[in-house]
Amino acid sequence: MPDPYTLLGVPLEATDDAIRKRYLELVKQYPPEQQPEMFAKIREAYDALKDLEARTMYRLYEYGKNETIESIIEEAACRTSRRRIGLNTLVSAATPPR
Amino acid sequence: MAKIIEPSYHLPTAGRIASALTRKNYTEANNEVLKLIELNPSEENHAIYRRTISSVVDGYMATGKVKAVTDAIRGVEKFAANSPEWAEEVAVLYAKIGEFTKAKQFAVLSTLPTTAARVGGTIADLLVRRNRPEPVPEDYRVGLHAILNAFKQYEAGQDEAAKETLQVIGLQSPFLEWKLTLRGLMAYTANDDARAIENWQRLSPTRMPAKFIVSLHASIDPSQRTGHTADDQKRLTKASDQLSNNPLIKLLKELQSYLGRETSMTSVWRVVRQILPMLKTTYPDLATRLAACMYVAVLNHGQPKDAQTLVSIFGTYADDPHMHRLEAIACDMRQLDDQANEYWLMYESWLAGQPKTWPVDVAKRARAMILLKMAHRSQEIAKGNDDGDGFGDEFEAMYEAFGGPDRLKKPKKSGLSDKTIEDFFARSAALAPDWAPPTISWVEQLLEVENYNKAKEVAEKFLERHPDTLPLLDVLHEMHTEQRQLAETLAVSKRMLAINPLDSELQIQVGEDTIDYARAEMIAENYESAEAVLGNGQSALLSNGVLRLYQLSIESTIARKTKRVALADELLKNIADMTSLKLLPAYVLSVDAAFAKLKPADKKIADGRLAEALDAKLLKAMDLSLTYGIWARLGELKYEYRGQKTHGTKLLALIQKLPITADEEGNFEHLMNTLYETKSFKIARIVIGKLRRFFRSNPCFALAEAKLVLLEKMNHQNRDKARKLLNLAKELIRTSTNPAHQLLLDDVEEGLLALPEYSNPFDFIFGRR
Repeated sequence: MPDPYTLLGVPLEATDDAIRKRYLELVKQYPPEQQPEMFAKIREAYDALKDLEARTMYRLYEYGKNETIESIIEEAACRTSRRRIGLNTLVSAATPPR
Repeated sequence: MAKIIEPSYHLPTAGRIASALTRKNYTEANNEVLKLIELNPSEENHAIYRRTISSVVDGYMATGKVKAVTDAIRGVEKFAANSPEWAEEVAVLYAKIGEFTKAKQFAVLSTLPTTAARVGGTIADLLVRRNRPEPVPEDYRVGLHAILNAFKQYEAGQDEAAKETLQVIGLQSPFLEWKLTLRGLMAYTANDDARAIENWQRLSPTRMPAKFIVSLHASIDPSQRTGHTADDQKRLTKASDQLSNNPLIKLLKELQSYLGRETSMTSVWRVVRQILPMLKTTYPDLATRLAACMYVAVLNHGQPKDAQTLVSIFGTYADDPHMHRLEAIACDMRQLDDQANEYWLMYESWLAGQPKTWPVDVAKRARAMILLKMAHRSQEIAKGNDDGDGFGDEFEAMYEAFGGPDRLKKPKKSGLSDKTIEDFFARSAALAPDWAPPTISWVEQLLEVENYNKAKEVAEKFLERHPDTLPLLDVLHEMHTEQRQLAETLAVSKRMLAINPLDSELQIQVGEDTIDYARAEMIAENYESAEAVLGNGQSALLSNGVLRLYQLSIESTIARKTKRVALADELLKNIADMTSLKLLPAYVLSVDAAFAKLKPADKKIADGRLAEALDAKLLKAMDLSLTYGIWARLGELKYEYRGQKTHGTKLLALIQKLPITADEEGNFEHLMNTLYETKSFKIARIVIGKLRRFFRSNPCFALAEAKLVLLEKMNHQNRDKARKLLNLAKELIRTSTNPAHQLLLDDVEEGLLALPEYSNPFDFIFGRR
């Protein structure tokens, strides 16, 4: 699960009401019938933060756990500009034809 | 004349040819295919020859054997005159080695529709691969020029100009594959993977561009990876990394591979040390994320020293600067309860210092949660110590025999005093005064140590602010029931019903509590009070026939006691009207008469009716079930009357003799449940076999028998028997059309989970557990 605070765009000290308000805004933006995958992520994030008990459980046991090396590689790959692969490089370095 | 064939150790086959090609022994492959065609020049073997010669030529070219290449091609030229397939193949072979004029000459001999595209594509691929302008056949100049120029423009970062240059290449051009390749590369560089995939998916797998781009294509398109073996996938990933040549990604992937192995973290730290400076200078936020990722890695695979290494590399982790939480969770995972408690408490102390990154309310609740966790764990430790050493009897003798080697000794757990446990609950409740769990657990702990007054005080204090806390009311209800404080019990159940007036179980609870209280008042000869209690509970009593029966029984008993005989007779008549049940009303009436110590003359009717009912040969399962249920409940509530034991014996005897009939299936389910709930396991074991055989498709009885087996000593035989019965119950639930049976599935699953696996006692000795 991506960091729910980042996904919902709320600060760490957000209250129940502020989190719910933001959740409803996002549901309007990503309706379940049109964007089911995004909605599912938003719902999961909301469930992790919806009340003080959920937020505390998340902070105590889950905070930071969503970081995986895969997600960091993906992010780094997105941010790093990809190298331009010239014809000679392509022909000499790529898998030789079988 | 038949050709004389030289004796040979083996006959050539397609398999031998393929094997020679796999071993890259092209000369052997060529010789084998020649023998094959001499032996049998069939069309099928010619097709094998064409495929083989193509691979042989590729192989010779790759190893620089120029003469062998031309010899091999010349050897097959003779077939071209009479076979369009061979004409096309020879043309393609000449195109491969750059003899374009000959390629065109042989292409002309072919009548196949595929020839022009294959030969043209092969020439185009070779020209691009050579990457030089001359010598180039006239009709290929424009296309080649466009591709080479476009590549140069792309390499110089002029993507728009490259796209413009590629415009001259149309759909029929032999260079179309290269145009698609380059357009895909431009999209790839711009991180537009969808567009890159769209272009590369259109490439022909037999042409050179698809083979050159395959690793890059697979790196962004999961569908391209699925068809490959694990080894091929690794080869592709390596090739793609080599092509993309990004040192940061390369190192991160190296780290990923080390993290995937559950060995020492030495290599992990070596790579992390190389990555961190790169991340700090380019993407500092990713450095923070890597720290979090490594924190979890240490938690999952690390040793104590790895926590120190983590701090030495990344500095203190803001959320856990002293690594107490990490150590605590690690101890939790390894079930090192005492150490976990110590670390959690240290983390709680740190949270008490109000760390800046923690919102105040979250930190406070976190402390309450930690203290609650500590309290629960301490309760378990204390319970574990009370339960003995955790080793079964069968291990005791072995323990003695082996003289108690260290590894056999029970792990000593310190345990904490009840006072400390209470203190944890109290502190947790004080930190989160509006959160019910610590208060509920605290009250339960106080009941455990029989501090009833304090339990009531703590509960009522919370209920003042949160009167709707049903679980806490439930604990209070249980406390009053155990204390036989019947007025308070009834008052609490009424409070619970007021919160949820439509809850039928709570309605019955209020009714039962009303009857209990009224009966107690009747026994104490507080008749007015008993009648008032029944009057106040009227709505709950009217909701259930059996409760109504209890009420009438008490009322008629009181009426006889207070000489209101006419009313008593009327009430008795009402009871007699309950036609579906014979035994239950008679029993209740008789028992209440006994409780009230009625004079023999007044008891006569009740006792007579009971004697009549107990002799009845046509008793129904539901009647017996309910009667036995109330008999057991009275005993549980410590009510005593003369003849109580005799009644129990008679009822159980009747249960054993009860004839089983198909129309009473549901009633027998009820009876079985009553026997289980009243812990009458001996009788249950006697009747369950008969019931299971009679109602073969009913899962209730298979489950009930499994539960009874689970209560026995858990040896190998019983474990297997229980498993079989539970699996049978599961199957019967699956096929049952009764919705109530579906609810049993949880019980079955729970039973299967509870089944202990067979454990070899010697595993303890040799440390395999």
